[in-house]
Amino acid sequence: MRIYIIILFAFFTAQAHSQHSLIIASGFSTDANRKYGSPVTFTHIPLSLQWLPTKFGSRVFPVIKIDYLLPLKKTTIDSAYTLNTAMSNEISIRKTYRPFIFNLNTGMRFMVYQRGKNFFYADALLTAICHQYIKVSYENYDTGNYEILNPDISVRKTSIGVGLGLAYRRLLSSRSSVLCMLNIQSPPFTSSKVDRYEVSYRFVAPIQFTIGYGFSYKKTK
Amino acid sequence: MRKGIIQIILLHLSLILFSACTQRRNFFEDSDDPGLSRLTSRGYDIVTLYLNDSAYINLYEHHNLGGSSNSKVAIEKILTNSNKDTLSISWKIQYADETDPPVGFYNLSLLIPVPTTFNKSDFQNWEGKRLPYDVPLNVTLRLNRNNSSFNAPDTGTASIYFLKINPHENQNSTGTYLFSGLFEGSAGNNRITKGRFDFFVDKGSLNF
Repeated sequence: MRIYIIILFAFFTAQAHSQHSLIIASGFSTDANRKYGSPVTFTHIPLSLQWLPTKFGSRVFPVIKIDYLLPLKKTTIDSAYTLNTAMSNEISIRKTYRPFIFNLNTGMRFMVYQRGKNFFYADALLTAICHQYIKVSYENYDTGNYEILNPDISVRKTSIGVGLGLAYRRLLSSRSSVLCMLNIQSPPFTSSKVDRYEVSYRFVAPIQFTIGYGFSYKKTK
Repeated sequence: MRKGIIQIILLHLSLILFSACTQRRNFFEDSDDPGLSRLTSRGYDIVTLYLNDSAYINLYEHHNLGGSSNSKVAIEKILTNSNKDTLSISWKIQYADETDPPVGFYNLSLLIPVPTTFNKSDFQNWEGKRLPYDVPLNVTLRLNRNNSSFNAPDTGTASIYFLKINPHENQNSTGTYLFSGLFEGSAGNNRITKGRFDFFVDKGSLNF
């Protein structure tokens, strides 16, 4: 992790005098890593900030992305049981998932095709620090009498991941452009189990479709 | 050179042995019920309960060839030479906060009268049933300190809810049951509440 940050810092310093671009993007994200049999697919609204230390028209250039994926709440039902004969032996309890995701990506963007003001790019060699916090909560129920079978728990972990992407860019002027991007990111390379306790979900592998606005600026010393 | 390779192999073997020795037992604390493990049906081989409001758990057994694991449930049909036999479901339990190995333990048994023809299929049909409410069979709770034959065990009544008695074929060649549920009861001055269990049971180990 420390090496990753040092490389990132070195990369920033090396690019200190060139023309830079910033892209702000948002859209929709779904999960490519849903656990088999899981009743819910995690979806998000991604908020992405991309920094390209290059001018428009370069064929290969680095990209640094910060993605925050705002979770869309998902609910499902778990069963709880009791031996108390004065009560129903089984009840349904509403369970809510909120999977918070933060990714810091670095990688290379390759221009694969250009025609006039239209550019097509492929993002490759993207590596990321991925932080995921899958927050699980249950609605209020009688904990004195009922026990939830195989209750889920919240899991918070940080690890490394990798990603790929495609981007279409159309220049609006010499300094601004609009973009459509499709990205897929691996889940963090770590298990969602906590001390061997199995949960009903896996970490999210987000497939993001985003639309963004990019602008370039001249970096001065 | 050869000495170096042997040293590396020995280092790896000792690491494997060390990791086997340091493996912790299956226990997943329920935040609503301190000291108890969550109610699960995944074959974690664990039983936890409150005995007179103190948390108890099944023994953690150290094996002769190394490694440790939670002690298993013992399920046995006891022949009584009458028109009813007895199905015994028992665990060895210790005080949850006690040191390992424990100073003492209890043998906790749930005894259910069953027909002499009782078999695995009847056992499996208990899934989703509460005894004695859904199936009119009285359950006897027997609690024996240190499994001693000198002291008379405390006996009383119990109820049990079989949440899962599922065949789980991929565990071994003879097959296993995923066996989990809830129980409570009293024996003498002892009161058991919030009992919960989750085990893999070898079909081959059952004598019915």
